[in-house]
Amino acid sequence: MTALAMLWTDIRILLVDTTRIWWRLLPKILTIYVLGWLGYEVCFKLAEIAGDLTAWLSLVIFAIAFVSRLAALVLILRMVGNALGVRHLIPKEEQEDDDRDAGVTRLLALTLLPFLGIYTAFGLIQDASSQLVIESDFRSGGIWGNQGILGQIRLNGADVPARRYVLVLAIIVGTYILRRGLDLVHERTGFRPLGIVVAFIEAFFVLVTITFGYDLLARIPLWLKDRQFMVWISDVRHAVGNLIALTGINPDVFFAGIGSFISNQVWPVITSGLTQPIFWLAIAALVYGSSVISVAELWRRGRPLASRVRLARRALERAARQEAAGGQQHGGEHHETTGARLVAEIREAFFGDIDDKYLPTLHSLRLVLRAGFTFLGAYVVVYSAQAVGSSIWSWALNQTIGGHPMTFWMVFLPAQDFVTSLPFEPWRLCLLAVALRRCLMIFRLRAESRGTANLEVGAVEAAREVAAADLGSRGTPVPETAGVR
Amino acid sequence: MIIALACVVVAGIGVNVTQNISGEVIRTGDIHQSLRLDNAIVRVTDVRTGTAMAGQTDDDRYKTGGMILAVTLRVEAPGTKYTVGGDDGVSVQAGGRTYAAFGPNTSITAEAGFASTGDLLFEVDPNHIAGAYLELYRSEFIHVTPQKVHIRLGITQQNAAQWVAAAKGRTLQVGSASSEPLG
Amino acid sequence: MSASTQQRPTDRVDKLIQRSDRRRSWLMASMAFALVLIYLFIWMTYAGSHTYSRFRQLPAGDSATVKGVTFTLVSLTRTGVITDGDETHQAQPGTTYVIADLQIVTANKDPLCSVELVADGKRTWESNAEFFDRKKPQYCGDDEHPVTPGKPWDYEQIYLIPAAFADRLYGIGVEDLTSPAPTKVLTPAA
Repeated sequence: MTALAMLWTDIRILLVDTTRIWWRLLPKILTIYVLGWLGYEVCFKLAEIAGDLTAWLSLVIFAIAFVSRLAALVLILRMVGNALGVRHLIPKEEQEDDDRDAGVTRLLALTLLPFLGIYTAFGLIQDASSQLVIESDFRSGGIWGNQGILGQIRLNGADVPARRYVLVLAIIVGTYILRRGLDLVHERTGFRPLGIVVAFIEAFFVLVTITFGYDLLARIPLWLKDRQFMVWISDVRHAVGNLIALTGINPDVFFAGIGSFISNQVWPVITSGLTQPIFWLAIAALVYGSSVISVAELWRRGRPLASRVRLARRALERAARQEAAGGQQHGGEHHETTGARLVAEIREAFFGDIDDKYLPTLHSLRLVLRAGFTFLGAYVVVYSAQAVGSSIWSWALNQTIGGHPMTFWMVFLPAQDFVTSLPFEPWRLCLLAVALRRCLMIFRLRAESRGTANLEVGAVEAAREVAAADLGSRGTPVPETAGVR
Repeated sequence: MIIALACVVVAGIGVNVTQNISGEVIRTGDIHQSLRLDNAIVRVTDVRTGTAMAGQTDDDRYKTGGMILAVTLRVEAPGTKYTVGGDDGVSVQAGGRTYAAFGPNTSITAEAGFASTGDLLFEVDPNHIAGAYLELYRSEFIHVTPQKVHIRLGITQQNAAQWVAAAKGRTLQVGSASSEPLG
Repeated sequence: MSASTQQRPTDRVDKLIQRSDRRRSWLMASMAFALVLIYLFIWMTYAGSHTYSRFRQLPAGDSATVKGVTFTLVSLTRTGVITDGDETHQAQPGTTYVIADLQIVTANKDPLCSVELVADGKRTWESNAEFFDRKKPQYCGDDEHPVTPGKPWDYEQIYLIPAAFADRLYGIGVEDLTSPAPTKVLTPAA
């Protein structure tokens, strides 16, 4: 088949499958989506009202609003994925085996970072924050000033007091510790609602951290500008400019032309056409669990993911410790001091987070990008078609409603937001699930043809064996019951 | 691989083009034509060009090397009071450029039940006035999708040179806005 | 029985189950939509009452208190000519002047007392500030007629309105920006 024919097949499969599953699950998807939207709206209005009390409470509620939206997204993706049978693509032995529950709160914790990351990168958080400023201005003359709800924690701007850096860092560290503590309590007691509280705190934490990181990154160009090597670079630029001037072209216009060409034409095309769909597909991959990602990786490379090995090793170490502790009760000597155990716990907590939550994002991104150019091309085209359709729909809506002064929009804005997003969001989420399944099938077909698809031996088995071998070679005790769940 | 790149480019262009189309609701008209703007009615009654302007006081004089465009605008407020202009609510767009109003009237307010007429002054580049139109909307401190009105000023490629020639050496007399009750 | 006929009843049952499942799902979806409609209705009512101006006409001669200042409208007269000391101002043809005689009582030292004239269709006018030689003061900060806290203080507000609305006046509106309640409109004591 020619590449074009393959592309067309992929496009057709994506369109047809998405619409089919969208139609089949439409009522359930609508229910979840509508409730998620409602949660977001209500939290948003509550955040406005909370602004009268204290700005910090408002910020927390603002973060919670996004959790509501993400929860709906995650639930819909999971439901559609189950209906599509994504789980069936994975052999039974390789199902999720983590010693934490695979409930919604865990999914939320997993996807909060990339979700809020995307929203920040595409300026959606800033948009929401400006909206909050506008509505709160309208309500009470405003307390936010120019910076908006994130004003207290922004580090951009000309003169940021050093105190603010300390404040933001303190918030980040404090929230992290708080969340970790609650997480521990949640694990020990299994008290369900605590999981949701943890998700809220994590959302706040991620929001603050991302804004912090974003601001720091934004400062780097400013800092670089003052460095010596920038002067060298600009000297080079001048030299090149002079050469160009010799040929009769105005160098400033030339550079400005290149700059504007890149920033006005090339960059937006790349970002809007490419990065959004890829990132969303990566988030969808996260929802289906790290086992999905690791299996795909296994099929692709024939080796388990390094982070899965580390996770398995930590599970084994923990089991070994428990066994040793159990053995103590029958009269053994202390093998570890409490200090060493505390260190081990902290290390596990911290690195566990990285392996557990943040690395999977990277892995799923990598996974998506390795799916092959034809598939990626088809997916990008279909995704953009959906985005175009959505824009045309809101244009038509705008023309029908017509222009109106501010007083009208204050009243009518939530209704307009609802009607604008309703037709296209659910379809888009179905597209993500269908695209992911297609991605997995591509990997599986490739693995089968290459012969690395071990459908009898599980990836988890492989990871566990690798981990056990590694521990054994280091002399650390390995539990006898290697089938620790 | 090339196909994928082509897909990305096509997709990107498509998204970009359509992302900017939604958002503005514009009504277009010509001079001497009454157009509705929110709850008011606007009409351009006269367009004059000159190279200098004179206001009511001796201090209020200005001479330009380019061209001054004076647009006489009538705003009727049959309902509640209406203000056109202020900030960027009034501008002339010509040759890809946006000109802001200057002089004694940069906004025109009609009280409830009254009609106000005033001269809006713009300093423009005489080489790029073909297709000029006046853009009007109510400038508030928050915008979602305001109603906008574009009024074509009757300057086309063919007669642009005539407008410029008529402007030479002419001083435009500009008074403050006058108002009269609506019938 | 052959296998094919055995499967048909279960197929039908499956379809029935599917259909009732789907109906139930649509029911849940419509409940969710109903929740959204309720929310939108609540929001639009709340926002509408706070953004659009509303007026409430008080009975004749009643007074209204805003920010510690009690306003009473004594009389509302229309006239075509205003005498301002030595000058006479003639109303433009098609317009008329309306003189509102007001009285305030307040404990504040520096009250604000500008009020608007209200007609139907939410039309409002602000007073003309061009008269400086009239007998009654035109604004509260007038040094020649200072406000004594606790004692009634008379002043007048003059408005220029199109003659067409002179018969459609509601009265004098006293705006309270701190409250979402409708603006109280004073009517003159009969």
